[in-house]
Amino acid sequence: MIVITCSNLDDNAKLLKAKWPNNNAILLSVNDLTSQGWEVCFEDFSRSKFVAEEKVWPVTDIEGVVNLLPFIAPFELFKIVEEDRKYVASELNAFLFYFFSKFSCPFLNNPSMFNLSGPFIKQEEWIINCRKTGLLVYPQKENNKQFYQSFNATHSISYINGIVYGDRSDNYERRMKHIAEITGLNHFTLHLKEEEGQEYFHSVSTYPTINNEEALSRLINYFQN
Amino acid sequence: MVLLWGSLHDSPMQEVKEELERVNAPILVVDQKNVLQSQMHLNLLSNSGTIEYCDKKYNCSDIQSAYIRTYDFTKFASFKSTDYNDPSFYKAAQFEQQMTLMLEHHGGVVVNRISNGYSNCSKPYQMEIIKGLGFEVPDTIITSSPEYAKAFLAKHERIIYKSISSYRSIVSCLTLKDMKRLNDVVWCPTQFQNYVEGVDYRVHVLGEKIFTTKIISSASDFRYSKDTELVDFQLPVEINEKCYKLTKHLGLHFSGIDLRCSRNNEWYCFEVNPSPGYTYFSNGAGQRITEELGSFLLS
Repeated sequence: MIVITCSNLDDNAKLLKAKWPNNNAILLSVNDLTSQGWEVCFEDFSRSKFVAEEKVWPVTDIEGVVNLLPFIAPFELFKIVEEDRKYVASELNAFLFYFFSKFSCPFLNNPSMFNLSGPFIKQEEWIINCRKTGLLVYPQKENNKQFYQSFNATHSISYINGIVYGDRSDNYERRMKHIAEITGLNHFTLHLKEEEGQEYFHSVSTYPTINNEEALSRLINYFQN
Repeated sequence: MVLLWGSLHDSPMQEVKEELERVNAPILVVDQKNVLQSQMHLNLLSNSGTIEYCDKKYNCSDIQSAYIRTYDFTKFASFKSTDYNDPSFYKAAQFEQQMTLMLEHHGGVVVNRISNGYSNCSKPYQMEIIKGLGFEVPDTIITSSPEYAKAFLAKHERIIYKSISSYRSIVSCLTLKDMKRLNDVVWCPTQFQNYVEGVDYRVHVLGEKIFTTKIISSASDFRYSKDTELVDFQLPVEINEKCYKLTKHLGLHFSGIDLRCSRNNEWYCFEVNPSPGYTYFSNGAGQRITEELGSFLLS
């Protein structure tokens, strides 16, 4: 089965699960992390068990993971008394990172220590990554946070496991693959802003587009192939 | 100049500062309690920037090396606002982030880059690395299932539990008479390990040098015991080599490694600390770690 990690409040995750072929996807929500049934054996991880949709499953059932949960926020730990939530959130983030580090199945995307849904890359570091691939960076973006608020993206290009698709994808295929290589991401969407005939880096998102048929189809194909 | 970033109430930071002043080294101390009098202008693309600290400006390019011992800045008494909407919170958070970014990409020696300490934020994850480099590690489970925890306790008769994350916890023991307490694990996966009887050692690896302290204590967590005795010690060569390799594998210039030699002469490693509070050990065992760290930052 494919595990989809998600916030308790993420309706897109439920939509993704509903659209997955053969009912082969299951949601692992924040509620499941604070539920009875987790059994993780360090010496023999294959004997471990996890909780999803309030049921206990063997870890050997996991064939792939879609990480829609970047981190566990204290406010979302509804079952935990308020004064313990910050500690429990810290424990769960650390635990889930270790748990997923034990799998070699396909991930979208591989978790990192401070971002369970991909590498922890700051905006300034994205600018450096873009420059390495030859993407233009709007000069004012380098040190003016107010600028971002009025700088809207005009088009987007997506990447998943070697495939580039979206607006003007042919022009950006090489650069998108280069970004994937230097960041370790196997899925992301690059947002660009066109201005006076030039295209500038706007931002990057790693949350998959669920309500676009092409994006959804490519996401599912990634796990089925 | 050498950048010292952290708190002057911190013993290692204070000792390193005094050592560098003793040898007349140029230093810049950025005390986190003054975070609201701090600003950074950073341009990563051109690898340049300035630090404005307490009304003075400093070029990042003048920093040859750095020593970091940072804390959660929101806990300092001088930082009154913990409201995320307060402009002062944003200003302080931005400075802390920019300093971290600058040091992540700095070409000089940074003891230690914060990203190289990430493994310590997930203890079982770090334990996989430790085990892979040849150390013994305790039998470990993480569970929210009371029956699974009880079976583990029944198997080992004496176990310990401690935090999975870098949230500081007191290592505590459970014996067979604590079975009922294990019903509480349902709310959060909890880490348990078998209790390893033996003698504790703290190893500090600094560059090419290794300092070992033998710890003699009756408590399961010596950090909280009043009868702890610290003695300078020489490890077997092969253990020294493993400590060195572990430190380098994690990308650290300076590490604090917790070891225990069991009654069967097996060497267990519990943790690698990327920002060791070494003064407790070096002062207790008569080791010149502060002097060596000062030299390392100036080399």
